[in-house]
Amino acid sequence: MQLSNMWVVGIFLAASVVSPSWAGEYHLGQGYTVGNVNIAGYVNLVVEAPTSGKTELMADDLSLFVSGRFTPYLNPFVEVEISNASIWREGGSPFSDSKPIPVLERLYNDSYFNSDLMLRIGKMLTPVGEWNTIHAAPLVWTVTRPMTTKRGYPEYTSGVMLNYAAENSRLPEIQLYWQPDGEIIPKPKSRTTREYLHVTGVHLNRPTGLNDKVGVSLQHADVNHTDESQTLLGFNARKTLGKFQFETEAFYTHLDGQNPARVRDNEWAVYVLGGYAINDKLSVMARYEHFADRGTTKRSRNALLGLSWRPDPAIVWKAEYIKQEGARLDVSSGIFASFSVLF
Amino acid sequence: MRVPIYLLLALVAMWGNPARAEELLVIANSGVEVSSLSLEELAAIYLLKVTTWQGGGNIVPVNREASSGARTVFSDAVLRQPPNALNAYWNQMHFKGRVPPLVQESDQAVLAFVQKVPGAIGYVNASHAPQNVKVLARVP
Repeated sequence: MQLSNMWVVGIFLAASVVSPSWAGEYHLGQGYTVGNVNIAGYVNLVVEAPTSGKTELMADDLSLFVSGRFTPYLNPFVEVEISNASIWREGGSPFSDSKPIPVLERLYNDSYFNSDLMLRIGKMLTPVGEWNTIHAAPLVWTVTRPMTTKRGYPEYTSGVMLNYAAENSRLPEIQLYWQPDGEIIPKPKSRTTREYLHVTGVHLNRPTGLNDKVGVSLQHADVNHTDESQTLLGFNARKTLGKFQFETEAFYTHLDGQNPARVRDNEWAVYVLGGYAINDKLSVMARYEHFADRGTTKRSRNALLGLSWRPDPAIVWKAEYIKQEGARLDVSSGIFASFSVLF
Repeated sequence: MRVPIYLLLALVAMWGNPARAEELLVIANSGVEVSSLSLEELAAIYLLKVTTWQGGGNIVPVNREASSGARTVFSDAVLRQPPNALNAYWNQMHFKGRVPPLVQESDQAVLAFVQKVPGAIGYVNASHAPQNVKVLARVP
């Protein structure tokens, strides 16, 4: 961690030499901008009241991200976060169960060869579907994250990615990425389902509106500490129709090699979500998810009803009720609420 | 004195929707090597799809605050998207590492920022001729 900290500080110090600067300005939702450097982040306070479990208030997450735009070839970005910081737990005293975990979410540099083609090197969010690349609490519909968007593949890629996105092109946006070995500063094992090595993938995305899109993903990866490898085919889509918005993600993964922990040679999952904007600030939503995990014979299903209130584009309150059936994986039945701010 | 009915109707129309009466000038820092921009090119800049000027250098787009009439006019005429959709889009782009257009809360602040910052582009009310900047377009 110390080495990467020095690397980040070094990049920003070196870049400040070539950076035209202006007085710093802060705006909620936009962060603090000074010269070519922007410092922003988000905080997410969550109350979990699972049907079978203890009620808990936690800070999940407190994230800080810093980006710089210096030259076409020097555009560093770093995001670190602290997650799972318990503030209060039923039957305990405040902060007594707090075990915050610092996580390096992203650390990379973007080099633009022209306005269409960019090379990213470092640790980045893996472009499978859409949710994983915009997972910050103030940006997504629900308090709880669909398992479909994280459980079956690596959330992060540590390596290189070539990104092609041309204005008015017939070609879709293309993201081609490769992780030659393991993950840079991985999350603690307690926070991940499994670790991956040797990840290769492509994501194609066709925008169909400002926020609407249709995408497909193809990825191959080896599962660390096993002889298992996996090939994933994914699909994602979002469509806005007036006050309605629909989105879905799905994947099917074929598993090769040996892993005594698995009970089938494939894994698949899908979620569908529909949201309705009652007015500019208040929305209601419903979600259904089905997950056929590689390690359980039973399938996991959950259905969600929720609402969100956004008094400012950067602030959102959410509440939802979840009914879960089948195998218990990452989502439980209960009531969940959150307060999130993009700062 | 009798006032013609068409003049009364025109006044009522302007009173009922003052934003439509506002014309904007799109201005850029004097160092920018571009002499004009189409509405499509402007939209690509404010939607962060184009981030560098043709002659080189970063584009630094400036927006007015959300409650501003000028921003409403600009969003309607150039970006052609509802405010909530734009806010969601810019929040997502920010998380992906592209900083949204910076907010300045008056014409004077936009003008001062664009005069001072290389690569900056913004918009101001067309009723006053701005000094020491390039005018790249008129909206609507």
